[in-house]
Order: sequence, then structure tokens, then C-alpha cells
Amino acid sequence: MALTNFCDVFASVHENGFNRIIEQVAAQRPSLFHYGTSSFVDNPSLLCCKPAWVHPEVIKRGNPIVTRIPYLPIPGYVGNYGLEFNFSLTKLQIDFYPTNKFSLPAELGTNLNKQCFAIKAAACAGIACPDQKILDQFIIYPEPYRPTIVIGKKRKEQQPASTEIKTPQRGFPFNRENVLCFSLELYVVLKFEMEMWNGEPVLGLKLQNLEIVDIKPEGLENSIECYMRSTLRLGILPQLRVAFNSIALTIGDFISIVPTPISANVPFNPSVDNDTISVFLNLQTP
Amino acid sequence: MAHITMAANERAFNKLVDRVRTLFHPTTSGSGSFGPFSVSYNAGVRLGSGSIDLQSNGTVRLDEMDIVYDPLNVTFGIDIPTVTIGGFCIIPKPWPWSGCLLRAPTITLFGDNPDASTTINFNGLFQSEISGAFSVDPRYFNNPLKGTLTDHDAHDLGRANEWQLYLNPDWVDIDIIDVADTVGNILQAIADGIIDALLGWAPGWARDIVRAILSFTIDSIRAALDLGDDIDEWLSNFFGISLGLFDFVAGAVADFFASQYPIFQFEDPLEILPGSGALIPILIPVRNLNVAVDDSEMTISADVG
Repeated sequence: MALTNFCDVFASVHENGFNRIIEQVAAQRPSLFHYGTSSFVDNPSLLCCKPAWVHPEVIKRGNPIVTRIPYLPIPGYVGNYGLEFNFSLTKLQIDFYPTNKFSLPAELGTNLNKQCFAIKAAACAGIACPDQKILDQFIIYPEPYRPTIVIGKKRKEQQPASTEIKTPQRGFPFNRENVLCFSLELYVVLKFEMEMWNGEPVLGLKLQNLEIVDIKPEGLENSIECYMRSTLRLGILPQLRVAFNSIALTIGDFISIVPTPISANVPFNPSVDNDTISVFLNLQTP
Repeated sequence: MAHITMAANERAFNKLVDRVRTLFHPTTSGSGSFGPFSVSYNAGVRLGSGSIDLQSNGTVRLDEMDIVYDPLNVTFGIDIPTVTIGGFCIIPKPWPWSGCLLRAPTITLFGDNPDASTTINFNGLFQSEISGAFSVDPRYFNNPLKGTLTDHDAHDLGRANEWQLYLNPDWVDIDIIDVADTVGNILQAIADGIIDALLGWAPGWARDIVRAILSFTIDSIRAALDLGDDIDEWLSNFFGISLGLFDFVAGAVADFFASQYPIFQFEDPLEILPGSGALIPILIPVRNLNVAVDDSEMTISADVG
């Protein structure tokens, strides 16, 4: 069957193409995927998850591998120092229905349902933990509390205990042996969905499920997953909707390329099937 | 399976042609003087009927694309030097006065510019016709200016390698004057003139009936006159060669230009995200670019990364 039996123009991208593009983006713009404080910026080899491949041009032109982020502040600490830490998103992959790029965890049902696609990523993070000696060295003692009570006399006002979160200017002395790393595998299953909104068709992404693998205790895992699910469903995905009938690529006054309307012949647009994402388009003259 | 696939069908190509037909109408005009003679012209072209046909042999056929010369008119003029007659004194004033009591009237002849002109109007009468079959040939251009430059340096300096798509003519048939359509247009113009002149008193519907009957006859003449050309094109398409000396030369010229100038080109690797400040642009290598044509659609596929 021809690709354009029910449309004028057809375009599709295979999951392997998507994943190759992600690899190239990660190699040529690693700072989009790796974040850290100054020690990690200066020495990316200290990252908990180092980039799998950095494009030689990035090194040649001195592009950053790690995006600099502020030190982690310590609540109540009045000094100028903060904790060094790093965060990376790696092994990003996409798998369009049917499942064959990676296995889904049992909690997600192992196999993708029709028209679904899964995104897999590893989130690595770690704090450079200051040892006891450094903590002793940098501790700042405020004026101690003096609970002297004299009957019949008003007590002298004391400074309240500090609850301030001060923005750190510097990191504690860095010890590469004390970088405490962890890695989480994250799976998100999504699906394009057409729904009616105020009488017009709207194309959006619907979260099918997500899973963070093996955080213990189970309640912590469930809580984090709940928080992420709520963020995606309430905060992010509602903003990624697009009015289907308004999607148009207009080339001057010459011609417009618009999505093919949903019908029995084109039940899904875009369609996620056969390891590809496909869009069906029509040409429209003004 | 290719990483990226795009396809467009015959309907899409013909929608584009229809749009070009609507929008493409370049015109020009000019004039010149040669002593007392002057010539001015208006000329323009637009696309007439014709279509794109995707063929199972992997070619795209341009099927009898008419080029209509509209407007096309020439105005010849002549400017005779101005002559003034009369104005002489019939009754002079008596002495001692001087001057004239009565003069003959002054008549100026040939005062206009031009004094006489005639316009020969060929608007929409003459047509040319182009037919042909082309294959789309993707070629990789190793830019000699790139040398040992890295992909990113070559991209910044505009010296990147390129994928180029060439239109490779299989056969070409050009009728400078499309006799069938030109005769048809002239007959139609004459018929319209006669109907309006002789049947001007008749109601519109009656004239339309007569016009329809005559149009059928004119279309039959048009088809009969085009038969030879249709057979010529069919044979050209069948054998994949240009038949006739002129078409052979036209095919050779088309071959030459087509091999020199790509119809579309893009850099390899292809920029998908521009540079930002000192950050390098993200360039994605494109491999195995392929164009396939069958009788329903043209498919372009490529691998990336």
C-alpha cells in the first residue's frame, strides 16, 4: 500500500533515527544533559555519569561539558559555603510501539500498548560530601543561648536561632573520594491523544504511566513517582497541547501544509506504529 | 528501514502545479524608435493545461505543459514630421500702419506622436508545449574547499559537503509553437467574434448553445492536429529518448544544464540546532539519501547520525 493513499504528503521518523539524533545532540551539546557546581564544571571526569561520547569539536572550541549550577545551600548555616553536587540525564532513548528497543519494567506491563511510546533515561546525581574534619573546620557557632531567668526583671532579648537559607558563594573543599553517587532508571510511557476542547479537536500527549526503578523503601518510590506524575499531568502535559486544526506550515501565499483530518482511513495522526512516528499531511491552497 | 521517510503523491505535485499556474504570470513591455517609426510591445507568459505524472519506471513525467503567451501584442507607429499650413496674410493693413488685417487659418498636420499606429494582438493565441520525463538523482558533493576542515569549521565557512538533487532528463519534447492549440485558439477567437457579431441580438443562452457546438468542433480539430505530437510523445516516453532532431538537441541541452545545476541541495551534516553564543551548532550527518518514484508517489528516504 502506498504511504500517501489517504493524504498528499507523508513523513515518518524511525525510533533508531530519533535515538541517533539524541546521541548527536548529547555529544555536541553535553551541557544540556550534565549539570554541576564549579568542581564538576572544571573537571567533568568527576561527574557521577560521565558523557558516553563528547564530540571532538566541543573540546576543540572549549564548549562547556557541564552547565554550572549554584552550590547546594545548607539550611541554617550562616557561612558562605555550600555543598558541591552534580546531576546528569543519560542513556536517553525512545521506543515506539511495538516494544523492542528496551524492556519496560514489570510495573509498566513489560510491553507497550498500541500507539504508545516509551522514554527511558538514567538520572545520575551525587553530592560531594564534606568529611568530619571539614565539617569541624567550617562550623560557625552563633552566640549560645543563655537561659538566665531573674524573677521580676525583664530578660535581655536573645538572637533567635537562624532559619535562613543563605546562597553559598563557595564550595567546601572538594574531595573526589567523597562524591556520593546514585543512579535512577526512569521510564515514562506516553501516547498522542486527540480530544475535544471547547468544540475543537486538540492534540495532546497523555501520560500512560511512569516508573522509577528500585528506590527503597517502596513508599518513597511511590511518593516520588506520585510527585512526578502530578507534575507531568498537571504542570507540563496540559501545556503541550495544540489545536489540531490550527497546525499549518504556510509557505508564503503559495501553499499550506496541514494535517490530514482524522477519519476511518487515518484513525491516528500522528500515528505511533511499526517503530516509527508518522504524520499524514494535506496540501491546501489559499 | 530508513530513519526518515517522506513521500508525496501525484495529487500533491499537481496541487503545486495548479498553484504555480495561478501565480506564475511574468510580463514585460518595451518600446523603441527608429527614425519616424516606433514599435512597442507587451509580452507575458502563463502556464496553461498540463500535469505531472509519476511513472512506474521511476520517472516523473511532465505531461503536455502548455505555455501561453499572454499578453502578446505589438504596436507599430509612424511619426510624420509636423507640417503647418496657412497663417499667411490675406489683407494687409493700409499705409501708414503695418501688420495684417486678415490672415488665412493655420492648420497643423501630423502633430500627434505617433501620427498613425496599429496594434497586432496575439493575446493568448500562441502556445508552446513542453513534455518530458525526468528522474531525480541524489548525488553527494564532496566540497573540495572543505579539505581537512572539520564539519563544524566547514559549516561556519560555508564550505560543507552537500547532498544535491539533480533532475535527470530522460527525454524532452518541446513544441515552440503548439500547432494544435494555437490553431484551436485562433478558431475559437474567430468563432467568438462571429457569434457576437451575427447573433448579438439573440439571448445569452442561445449564443452559449451555438458556442458549445462550435467549441466541440474546435476541440475535435485541436485533438486531431495534436495526434501526431501525442504519438511522438508516447514513443519518446516508451523508448525513453527524445525523438526528432530538435527534441534531441533540446534533450542534450537539458541534460547539460541538469547535470550542472541541482534543483535542491542541503549541507551534510545538516544543522538542526543553531549555535548559541560560543556553543557549536548541532549538526546531524545524513546518509543513504535515496529518491524513489513509482506510479503513485515519490519517496525520499535517508538515515541520520
